[in-house]
Amino acid sequence: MHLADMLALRPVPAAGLLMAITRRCPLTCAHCSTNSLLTSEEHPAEWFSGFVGTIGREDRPELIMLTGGEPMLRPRLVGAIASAARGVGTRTMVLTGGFFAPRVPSALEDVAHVSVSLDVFHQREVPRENVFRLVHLLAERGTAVSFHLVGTGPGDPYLTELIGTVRREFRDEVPMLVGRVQAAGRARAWAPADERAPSERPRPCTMAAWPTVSPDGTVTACCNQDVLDHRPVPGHLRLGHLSTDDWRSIRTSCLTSPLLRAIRTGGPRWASGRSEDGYCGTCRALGAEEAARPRPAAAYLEQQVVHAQVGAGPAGFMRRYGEARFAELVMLGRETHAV
Amino acid sequence: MPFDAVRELTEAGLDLQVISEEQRTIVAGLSPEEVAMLISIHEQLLETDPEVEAHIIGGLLF
Repeated sequence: MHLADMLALRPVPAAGLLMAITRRCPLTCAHCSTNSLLTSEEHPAEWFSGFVGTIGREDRPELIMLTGGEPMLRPRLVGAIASAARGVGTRTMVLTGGFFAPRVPSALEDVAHVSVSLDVFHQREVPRENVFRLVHLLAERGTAVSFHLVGTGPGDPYLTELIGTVRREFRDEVPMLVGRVQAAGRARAWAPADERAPSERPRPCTMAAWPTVSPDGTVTACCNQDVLDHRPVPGHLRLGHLSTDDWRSIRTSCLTSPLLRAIRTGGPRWASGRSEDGYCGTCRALGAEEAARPRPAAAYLEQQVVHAQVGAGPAGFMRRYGEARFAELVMLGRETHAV
Repeated sequence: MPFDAVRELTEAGLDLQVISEEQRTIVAGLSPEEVAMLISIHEQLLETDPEVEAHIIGGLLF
């Protein structure tokens, strides 16, 4: 499954499921948004595998993305999830730092896509040549591959050099998702905070489309790092917990909450009429009792906004959420590696 | 001139040709604020260098 085909699904509610299956990581990257260490929290594998086991073919997500921490610290769990997901027609993607490179773990056998993080910070921990060798080996055996890159901005010289090198090394056949280091986790101590003024325009929150499983088993409606890291989760953003809820109930909550639907349609300010500390700050400030403004056409409006975002395509998504200058790089290899 | 949601959306370039009669009735009932929201979002999605909200989404971009 090509990166662009996965991104094309990103605006579609409950079309995907994000799972951080551990917060642990053997790397100590200075920009780690999850502040991961080898001693970080980790919870029973059965929570995660059991939850995936509740997914039925008729209401399955199209994609499960496994991340962490470093998901490949739990190879048996990755393999079990990928196998169970495949059994109901769901594909699995793994985002890894590639500490095991260039060896290809057998746990990736049922995984449809492997994306490897590569940037100036990861490269201090895992040699670039090992990562390239890993990606070549995966591609040779037919696994779809991509890179997750981050830099300090569109003019970051390391990022520019890295993109050029990847394009030559893989002959423009391997797509890249390019973002910016954000002031979260370990980067909070040194990365500049985003000081762009909040826009007054309504803005759909695509990040509230896919349920997100935190390492502690809490399932949230969005993947904002502060929502994942802080407890309690604001009521309207908490969908449930792996120990008590199945996929069907999580999916139903995601799809039917009037406030979540309004946030996905026009953003938190449009949904609530309130304006607090920025876009995500406004959303987190909403209380569990907060109700979306009643709208008879709510379902139609959400449908139209989702349709418009899908129409803008994977590069359109990256222009809004990634490094706009490099948005088209998610399309590399799409012609030869279609679904 | 009274507010006409269908006309406003059509003049903004939103394709209403494919919607059903039932949906057309829903569209006709949209408020001016809802129509403005739809038009604004469509315009933003056409921008080549759109404003980016400060989401802190770490490694879970998608």
